[in-house]
Amino acid sequence: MKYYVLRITGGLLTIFVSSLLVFSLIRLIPGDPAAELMGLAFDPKLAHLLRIRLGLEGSFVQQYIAWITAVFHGDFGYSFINGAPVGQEIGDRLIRTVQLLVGGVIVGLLISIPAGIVSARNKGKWQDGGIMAFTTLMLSVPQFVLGIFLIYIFAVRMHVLPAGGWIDPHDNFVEWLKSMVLPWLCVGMAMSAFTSRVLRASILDAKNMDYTRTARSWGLSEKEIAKKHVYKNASAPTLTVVGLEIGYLLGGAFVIENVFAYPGIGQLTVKAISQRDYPMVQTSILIFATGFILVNLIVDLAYGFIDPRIRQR
Amino acid sequence: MNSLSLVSVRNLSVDFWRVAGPPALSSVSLEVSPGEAVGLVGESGSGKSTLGFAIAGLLDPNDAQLSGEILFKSQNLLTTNQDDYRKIRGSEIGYIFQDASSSLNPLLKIGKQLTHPLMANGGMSKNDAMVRAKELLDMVEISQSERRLNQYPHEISGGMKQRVVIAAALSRDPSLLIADEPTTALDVTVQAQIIDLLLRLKKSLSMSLIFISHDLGVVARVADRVVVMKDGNIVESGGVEQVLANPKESYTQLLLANIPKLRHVDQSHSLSFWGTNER
Amino acid sequence: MAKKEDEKVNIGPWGNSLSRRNVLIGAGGVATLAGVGLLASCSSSTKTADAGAEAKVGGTLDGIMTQQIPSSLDPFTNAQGAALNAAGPCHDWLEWVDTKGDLYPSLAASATQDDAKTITYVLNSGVKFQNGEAVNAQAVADLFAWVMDKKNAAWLNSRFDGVKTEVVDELTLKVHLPKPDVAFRYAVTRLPIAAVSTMAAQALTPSGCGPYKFDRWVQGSYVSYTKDPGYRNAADITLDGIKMEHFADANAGTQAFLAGGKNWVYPSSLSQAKDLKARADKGEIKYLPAEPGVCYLLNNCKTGPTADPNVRKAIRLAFDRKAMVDGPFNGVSRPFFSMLKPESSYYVPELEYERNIDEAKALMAKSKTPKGFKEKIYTPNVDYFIGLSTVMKANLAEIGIDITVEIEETAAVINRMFVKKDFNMVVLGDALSPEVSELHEYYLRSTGGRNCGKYVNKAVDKLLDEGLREIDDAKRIAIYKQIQMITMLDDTAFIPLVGEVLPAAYKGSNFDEFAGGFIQYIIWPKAKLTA
Repeated sequence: MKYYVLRITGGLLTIFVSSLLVFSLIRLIPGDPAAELMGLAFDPKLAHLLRIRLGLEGSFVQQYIAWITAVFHGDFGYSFINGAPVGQEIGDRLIRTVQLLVGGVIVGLLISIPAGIVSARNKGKWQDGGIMAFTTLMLSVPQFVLGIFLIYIFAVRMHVLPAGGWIDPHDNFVEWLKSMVLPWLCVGMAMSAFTSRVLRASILDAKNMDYTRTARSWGLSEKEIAKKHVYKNASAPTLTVVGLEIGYLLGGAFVIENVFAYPGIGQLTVKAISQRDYPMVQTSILIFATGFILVNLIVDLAYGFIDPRIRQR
Repeated sequence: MNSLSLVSVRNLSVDFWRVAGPPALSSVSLEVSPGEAVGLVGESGSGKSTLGFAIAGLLDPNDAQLSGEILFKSQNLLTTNQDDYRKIRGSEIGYIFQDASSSLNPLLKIGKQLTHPLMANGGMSKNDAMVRAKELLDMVEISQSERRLNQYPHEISGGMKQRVVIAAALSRDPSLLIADEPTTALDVTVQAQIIDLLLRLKKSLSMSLIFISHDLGVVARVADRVVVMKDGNIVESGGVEQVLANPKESYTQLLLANIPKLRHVDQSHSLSFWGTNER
Repeated sequence: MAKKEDEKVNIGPWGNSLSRRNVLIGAGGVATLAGVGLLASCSSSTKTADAGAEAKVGGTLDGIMTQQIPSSLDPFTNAQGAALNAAGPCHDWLEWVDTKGDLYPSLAASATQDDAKTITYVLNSGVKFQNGEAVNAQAVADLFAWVMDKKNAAWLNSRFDGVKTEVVDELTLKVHLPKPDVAFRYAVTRLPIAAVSTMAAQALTPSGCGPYKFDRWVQGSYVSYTKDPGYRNAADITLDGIKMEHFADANAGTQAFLAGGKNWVYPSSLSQAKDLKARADKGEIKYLPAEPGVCYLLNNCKTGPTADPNVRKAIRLAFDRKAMVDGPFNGVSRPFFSMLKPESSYYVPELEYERNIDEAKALMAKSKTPKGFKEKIYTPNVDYFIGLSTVMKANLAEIGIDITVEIEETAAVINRMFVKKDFNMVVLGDALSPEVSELHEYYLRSTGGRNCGKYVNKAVDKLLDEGLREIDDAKRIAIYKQIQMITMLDDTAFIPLVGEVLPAAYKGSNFDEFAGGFIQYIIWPKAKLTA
């Protein structure tokens, strides 16, 4: 219990620190939101007025306090670029990114669990070789290349799935589902590469553990041993990796979102950074940090569920 | 040779595929009579554990090549199919490993680990298996046995864990118990308790015992007969008193010389001098 | 003043005020808006340009815009081209301009340059904004006032400094300029006409008096429009709607276009140029290397080694423009020697020259840095700019200038140029303008808004003043020739490199009426799908 209290406190602290960090970093990197808005039509007098309007003329500390106070009241501010409430847009985007990631992770698990088990069970045989070759390929191919490849195969050549773009599920659920297949596959395949390798290694590890040998000495069949001992024990390290992978996917979401023209939070953040849309950047990074910590907290909870030693710490 | 033998190992050779050099066992023969306690002695790498694993069928055929015969109750285990071998292992042969702390699955409750073989191989219902598991814990003299069934391995002490391992090994009344350095990883006082327990159980359950150790002092207490191994060969064997008092082979003498106070084989002392230098 | 659309008019892009690539994409946004006006001018008189293709009534025009995703649909305060492009279909404006610089009436039935300081606009009658308010002289005057009010931060604000409006009657508006400025009407073609009451909401829900009504904007995904039955020439609109999908990645956008179902992609991926051209040759698609901008090298003319005109001339002569076209642009661009397209009547062919390393070396020997120097070229993090800098680095190494290609985020480069003013060499692009004064005023006047290289030549300033005052075409051409000879040759204040090409790919089989061009050429009211 103490363990979890510490984890949650640490998480909150991390969120706070990251808010401070992103607040200062976005202001430290060269670039000026006013200049960005006006581009080559830059006009110094107008820029000054704009900065006042955007709340950029106070001291750093004043600006931070004003922002963080508003955040505590649920007000994330307004976009510098279009004046819309940041919270609303980020909320919409977050839901879509979560849809993208959850589906992708499910696909990833559907691929990596059987792949890991099959290759561990057939260690050294052709199945293992094939799966390992595939995962090596997946690990070395950047996600956007994989995405373009999938689009080329399924959309350009076979015309079975849309090439990208987002469809409102409220308008047409079936079309939405079809449009999600390639992004999910792209997330899933990328994720499954590392996960299935870790699962395979963990299974092989668990198979060589002393307790497995003990179970074998009890005359249990390999199947029973696998069921009761190997898989459960192999799932703990795999779970950690899945947690890290989700964090990594969260950070790398914009790559997939860009390839599939998917209006998620990653795409929004990258754009907001390049446009120096401070309120948008601050809030979305805050969301990323929270998401990352949340995912890891969930992983820890699940880990504790599997491993009593963690639970009782 | 001896039709009365429970186990009869004949010209057993074991060669590990992945390990270069001489085979782990070369043409070893060994007899164990019902009720007899045989001590397997030797340095690490002498092949004593390999022999134990080979008898119990715990060597992975993908890793090791076995030739010769292992007769168990006159049945050649090396020609028996894996499934039947497994059943014999489950019902007739108990095995206790060196390191109790890693011999149990850390993620499963003790009760679950004990009942699992009872249900899978002994065909017991879950309730019967639980009752039997509690009996087993009582038998290996674990206090509050009821509670222990609901605990995880990390919640109990090392000595208690080894008792659980022993209980599991004895759960199906085996006629042969192989104990591979069962006390090396334990505290000195606990070591003595475990040895005592093993001796009492061997007697009450009238099992044969193969006791593997590098520790001649402990072997002297446990075994009727001693087999000394070196580099995959048996170099000397005979009654425990005869071998220890009057070793013929220089290797045995060397082993004995490494035990400074063997002459006062007084349990509490002797155990305090040789301990865990093998692992 | 109005000209008939007698042939396939190449309604070109002309500069909005931004040069960055993303902005360029939308540079034509203004022209897009301008295109809306074309209908007004031609609706009553012209036949369909592509008479051969059978026009389909109805359907939704579905296109893909790549690279620049709009964050705002407000083209009044947001100078980014993406906003202009995305908001285009709902807007209309007083006059529109073609690539040659000719003006055509739109909302204004006529526009007259009374003298170099006065313009009279006479509006069409009975026109309404999409919010129901009347489009009259007062509404336009109110919009001008809104732009002039600094607190609204309209990006055209400085262009409207000191302007006075006079509402003569319901439909007649006189505009009085503070000083002679015959280019002002071109500036007004950048201003969509919208009701002042709608300004606060333009960023999210654009509304004007164009042929289509804003329907929905899913940020980062698409913006859609439906036809506006209240449009002043509603009968000419054949489409039910327009959908512009936004793909940040040009490769993915191009693939999505090739996958089918989409009418166009703009800009298509430069790296797929050869494949797309091959498909175009086979007749599968149409390929158009639209050239909305010019890439240039801007030198610091006041401090550092580039302050010496001999150094700038040497740099100019050292450049291998063919390598620039073939490398970063994959063959789909052409060399540039001035701020104008060769098609412009103000173009000066004498500015063209061959690469000459010997002469460049001789100029370096005469300069203050005869042994050469080390310098950085600040380069926006955009593939083709990086490619251009790499070619320049190799070229300049031959005359003893050791270049480091310093890649920075586009926002950082803009900041460096305009706010910190801390650079000696920077590579960038700007939207080409059919109006000759436009870029020359910005870059070559000593007080020009984009004269970040601090180039000062009193004689040029004086000539620029004359250019703004002169109404006679021939005399004006002579003035700008003089300006170009001084600034591009003698002073080498600005070094044009190659055209900033953004190639479009579209399918002719089910879509026409692009009037020979791409999105900046799309005349929204006339756009239709073919049967």
